[in-house]
Amino acid sequence: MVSGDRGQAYTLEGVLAAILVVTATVYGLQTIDTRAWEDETESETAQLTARANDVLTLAGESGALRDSVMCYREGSSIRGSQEGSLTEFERILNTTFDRQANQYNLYFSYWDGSESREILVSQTETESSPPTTAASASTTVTIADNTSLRLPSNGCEEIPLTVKDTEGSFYMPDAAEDSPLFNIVEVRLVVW
Amino acid sequence: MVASERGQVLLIGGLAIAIVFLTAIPLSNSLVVSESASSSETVLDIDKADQREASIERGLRALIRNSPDRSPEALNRSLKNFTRYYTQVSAQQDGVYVNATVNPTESEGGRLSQSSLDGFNEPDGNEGRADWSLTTDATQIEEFRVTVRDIPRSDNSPFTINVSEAGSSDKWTVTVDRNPSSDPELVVNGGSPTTVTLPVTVYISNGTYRTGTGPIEALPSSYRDTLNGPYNVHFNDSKPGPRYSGTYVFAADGDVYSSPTGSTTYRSSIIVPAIDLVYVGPDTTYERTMVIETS
Repeated sequence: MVSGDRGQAYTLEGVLAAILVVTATVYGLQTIDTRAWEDETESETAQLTARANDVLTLAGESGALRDSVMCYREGSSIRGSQEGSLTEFERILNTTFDRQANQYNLYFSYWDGSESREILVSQTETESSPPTTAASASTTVTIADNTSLRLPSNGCEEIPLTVKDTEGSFYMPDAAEDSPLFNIVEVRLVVW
Repeated sequence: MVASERGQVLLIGGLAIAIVFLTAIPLSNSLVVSESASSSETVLDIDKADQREASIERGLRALIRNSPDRSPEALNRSLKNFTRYYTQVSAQQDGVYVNATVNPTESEGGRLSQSSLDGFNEPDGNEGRADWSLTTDATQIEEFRVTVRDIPRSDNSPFTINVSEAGSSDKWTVTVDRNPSSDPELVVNGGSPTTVTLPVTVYISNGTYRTGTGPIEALPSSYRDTLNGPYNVHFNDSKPGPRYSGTYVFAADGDVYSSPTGSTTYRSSIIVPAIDLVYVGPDTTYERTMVIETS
């Protein structure tokens, strides 16, 4: 009877010892921060998202983004790495992404009479598609009927013509003809 | 034998206590990790909603600044178009719904005008005072133009438009008068006179003037150059003698006289609009009233 009790005690002792070893292993793994290896890509994406958001917010508040929207013409490109005089928004892109060897695509979406149309206004020179881990940020630019047009040459210089004056030749139509609103453009920046 | 069994019981007890401690520590650690991870997600969501709201506010400011008709009905029509296209364009990405309407009780502004070719009349119908006020404490003067069509030849008192800074003695003036050879002249802030022909229109809000049918030219200075606001605006004319005659339009916030008599008319004109905004985003939903400063 006594040896049976002791056998049970040995079993209990063995089970508890096993639990102790497992718990100690779990504890050991938790105290070491392994996220640096596991989530490196995720962390980079979060940082790029924050930078892309900052770029769009800064350019939106300073008016540089609206100027770029008014300056863009079909067939041209908005890039921080191109030669010649850069617009203010292109300089921001250059400083934030081109000099850090990041690649990016820029898209404009606007209402095209019956549906939302998205155009690619800036593509990476290698023309590669963004990877699944690419960061994305977006903001909107509101264009009113009497917003001044800008010339793509000469650093996006303002010209004495409003967007309403050149309706039909501008790349986006007047979405609300009976209103001071011309169109709303969503600018999306994808960086990787 | 008994002592050996006790030793084994003590060992098991010790192991059990160790397990309790070792389990409690990782559990509390994982709680802290989960909390910090979820807080950083919440912060990102708030940042995103904040950026969206900033872009909406920029859009509303651009739209209102470019709206020639500031009546509540016209602004609401513009806002309806804005919210419609904003929702449609943003639906492609993260699907944001916004609704914006003018809050008439929180919005400020009024528009006074005198369009008949008459002497400059006080809005309240009082004809006896030479010096009378258009508004006090206006933070934003959206439109202010005065056209002088006739100057009394027999009277030497000038007609002066005074813009002063509330709570201060600083002021900026435009004076219309006749010089000794009887030519009409314009004097800005006591500077050199400019000879003009009638009618002369002074666009005070733009800092320009136009004489006769000539081109629009810049005034030597604008009230914005010397004053910070809020502004008091008053006219000083030659009453009760022979009257200067002309027309004026004045639109501003502040205490604009809203019950004029005679040839002066008033209509509601929203200069500093308060917009009730409903925002429904993927992560945040809220309603709030935002005041849009367009100056």
